[in-house]
Amino acid sequence: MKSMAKVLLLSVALGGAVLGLGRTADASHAKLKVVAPIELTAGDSAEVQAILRSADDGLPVAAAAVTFYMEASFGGIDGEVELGRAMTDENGAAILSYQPRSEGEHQIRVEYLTPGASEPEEATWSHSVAGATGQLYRSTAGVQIPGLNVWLLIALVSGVWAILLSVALRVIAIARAGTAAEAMASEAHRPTGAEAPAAASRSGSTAAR
Amino acid sequence: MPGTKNDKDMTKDSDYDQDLPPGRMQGPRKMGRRSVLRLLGLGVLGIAPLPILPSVLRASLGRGLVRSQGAAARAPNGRIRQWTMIIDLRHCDGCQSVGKPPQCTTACIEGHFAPEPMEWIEVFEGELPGGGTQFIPTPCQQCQNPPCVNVCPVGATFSTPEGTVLIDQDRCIGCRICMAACPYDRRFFNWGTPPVPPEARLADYSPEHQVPPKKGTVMKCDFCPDMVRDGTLPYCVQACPNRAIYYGDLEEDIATNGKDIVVASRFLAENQAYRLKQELGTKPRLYYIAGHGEAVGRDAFAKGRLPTEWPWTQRAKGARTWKR
Amino acid sequence: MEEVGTWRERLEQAALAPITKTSPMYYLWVAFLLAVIGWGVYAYSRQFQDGLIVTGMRDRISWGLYITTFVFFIGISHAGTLISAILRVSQARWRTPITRMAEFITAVALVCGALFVIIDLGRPDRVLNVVIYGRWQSPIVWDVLAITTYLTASIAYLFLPMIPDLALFRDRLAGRVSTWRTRLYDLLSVRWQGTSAQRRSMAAAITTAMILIIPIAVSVHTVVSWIFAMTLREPWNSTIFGAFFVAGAIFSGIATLIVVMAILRKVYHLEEYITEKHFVYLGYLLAAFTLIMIYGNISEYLTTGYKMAGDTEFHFRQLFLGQFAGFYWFYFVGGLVVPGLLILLPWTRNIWGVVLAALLVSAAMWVERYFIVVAGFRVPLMSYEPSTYAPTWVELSVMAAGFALFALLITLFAKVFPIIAVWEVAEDVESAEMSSSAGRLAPEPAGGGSP
Repeated sequence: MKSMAKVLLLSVALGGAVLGLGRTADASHAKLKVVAPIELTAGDSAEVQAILRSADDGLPVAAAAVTFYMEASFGGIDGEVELGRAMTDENGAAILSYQPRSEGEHQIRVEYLTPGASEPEEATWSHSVAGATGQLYRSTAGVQIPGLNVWLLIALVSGVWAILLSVALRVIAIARAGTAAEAMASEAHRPTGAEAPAAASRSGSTAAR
Repeated sequence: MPGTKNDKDMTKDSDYDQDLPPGRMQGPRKMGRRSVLRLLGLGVLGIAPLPILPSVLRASLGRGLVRSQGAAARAPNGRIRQWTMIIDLRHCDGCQSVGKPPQCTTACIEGHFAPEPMEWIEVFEGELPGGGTQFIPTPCQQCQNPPCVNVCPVGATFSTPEGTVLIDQDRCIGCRICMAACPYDRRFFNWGTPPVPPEARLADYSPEHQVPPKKGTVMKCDFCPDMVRDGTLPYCVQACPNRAIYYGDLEEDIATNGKDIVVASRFLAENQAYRLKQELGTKPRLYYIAGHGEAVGRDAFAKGRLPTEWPWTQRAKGARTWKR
Repeated sequence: MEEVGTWRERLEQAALAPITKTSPMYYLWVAFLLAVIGWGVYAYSRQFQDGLIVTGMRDRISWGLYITTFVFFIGISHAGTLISAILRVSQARWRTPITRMAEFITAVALVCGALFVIIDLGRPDRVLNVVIYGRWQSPIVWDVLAITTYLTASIAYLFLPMIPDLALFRDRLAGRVSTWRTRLYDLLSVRWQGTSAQRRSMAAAITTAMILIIPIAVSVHTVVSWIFAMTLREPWNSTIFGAFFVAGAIFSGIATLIVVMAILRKVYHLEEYITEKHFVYLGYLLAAFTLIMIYGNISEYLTTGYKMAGDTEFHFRQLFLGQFAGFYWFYFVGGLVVPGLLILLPWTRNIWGVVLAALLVSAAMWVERYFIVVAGFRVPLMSYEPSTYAPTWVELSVMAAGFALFALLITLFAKVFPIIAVWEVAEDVESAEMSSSAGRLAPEPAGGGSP
């Protein structure tokens, strides 16, 4: 009977120890800690580390899902946005790649919900974000090819109109040549008679090509 | 005989000023004709460069082509907003559950006095593989490579710094090449006097608030720039009973449907958001999350929605509506 | 010698006859055309007042008869370029009697075409915005640049070879016509005396213009096609549009020239100068272009149809089997195959056959523009029922007025200006005579006449 009691006690103790160990692995009381830079600039990416450790023995809790939230306000609505979620690795660290977009004082709330627990574990991390120098979001469309711009079109159209101009000038040259011919003919006309005009003017006769 | 004919051919006697001394080449009348000819030639040359002159001037003066409108909408931090809209089709059932015509369309029509039959946001019923349908509210896609802006001959439609596309109805010449170019059927023409209620005519027109519409010009959804600049959500976003439409800013990477706020990039990525006719390269600012209203209890095979209505009974004098 | 002289006289008489003699038929014809134009102006006034709602165009099919007719007119404006410029460059002698008509068709067609764009605008009162605020990235602005350049070049190219003939008119018609006409001929003949200096200037100018006008003409119809091809609509989103439209333009230009030529030849008794040979040669060109057009059609429809991507299936159904089947097959069979056969088969290769082929081609090319525009618009872009387009009386009236204006301008031209290039025909005949029978006829020296 004494030996039976000893065995029972031992098994209970062992069982308790096993259960105790198991419980620390599940970390029903876990502590969250956030490690991240405190001052950021909008547009720069930063890593936010949420480290989950068991409350009892401080061992890291692995493979736990951690969610990151932030307060935000837009379009007259205030609320909380989910920034992302991550799983803790063997060191108990869950890493979120975070890119702040609006400046000012912000707070990121990290949440871990222990399975079976009703209240989530939380940690907050305040940081201040400085303004970005320029626009962060770039929407580009199209391809820039150097030289392919309005000047090319203008050059082309101007070139054609310049040639047309030269044609117009030819017409003026014709008129001028005509005036000269008429003048010569008027001088020749009176003294000499029919030959010179006949020679000079054959309207519609062969044009040199 | 050729010779004698040519005698008459060449000149008329009246051409000669008989009293001129031999050295003088021409009489005063001939001088007059010559300068007329010169003037004509020069006149033609003067008119010749007209077609290209404005472009030359503008290019050389470095003047922008965008018609000025209100100041760009900025976030409190000063950066310019980059508007976007995300429509969660899992929550859109064509307002079947509320038993009314699509409320987004109704609110837009009422808010803008959109003339009948224009539906700037139009709820199309698209077919799904397998036979069901999905409702797709389709406002202007606000493309980043907008075919309409590219082809407009006078720059009446233009892209804003916020990434949206607006129309200046005071410059539009009504050529409708933009309507030919838009691949989403999102531009509407005022074929006649626009049928709007008389109170619409009291408003001041601006490209950001297209009231009253003008005959012979084009209009479309504008993402309500005058409202969102002040932080008020567009009519369609506010009116959706299922809160399916999110309006957001890609610069601040945030969006809201009037109740929930999300990080826009995350919302898009996690829900495999897509854009309409993406292969065309128009790069719309409007994203869709696939669905058929299942989140609000719609069965994919429950087809049909109520037709859109234009609520005013009075119309402007002389105006009549037309079919699309 | 005397034969040549008589022949020459007959030629000049033929050129002068339209000016000096006017039949009552002429007045009737002009009155009819003016009536049609007047009715069209009334129709347009209704459109100007009420807006484009009086047409059949709506949001889904937002271009119709007006743009169809615009493209059609710009297309036939290539008549002049082909005949005058290309044939002149290749020194085809037979072109000489018809160059003038071809060049004039070009100028008139461009004016009528440009008119239709303005008629189609929703706000024609703001048409100057294109000049003031024009964006060089817009196909419409390219259009404006190209058409104004082409119009200027065509007018120059019409005017230059006409100078010697205008001088002929100036000399022969002095005192026989009204004062304004005398002044006009005086002014426009720019003191042409036929001196060698003038001939050199004119030759240089014509050479420049004829070489320049060919690329201009090609660019014009290419940019007109790009109004469609720069959009993303399925039936228009094709790289072939530029080349196809230019080929179609030259094609319809030849057809229009044949028709106008036949009419003017009949009315003004030019049978001696415009012979069956001219019709047959133009007919050969027409037949060559039917083959090019058939090739273009096969290229376009086989490559898209093989793949059936996107909305191709819808478009093919509406074009080949559905709503537009009548239009398409009339165009293909009646406008391409039948005219080709009419010309290639020896039994129909005569004036009547060629003119019939040209009439079919003209009608078919208008129809082709129609289904390119309307069927192109009809393909639904989103999930909605396809609409229909039916032109209203306003559009039909204005279109009729446009064609009447075209006819009227040609009629008036024939009454004011020489419709035959007298000096070119004479030069052609003379050099032909000189080369063919040097013994029979003493060549007429350029210098002076022997009594």
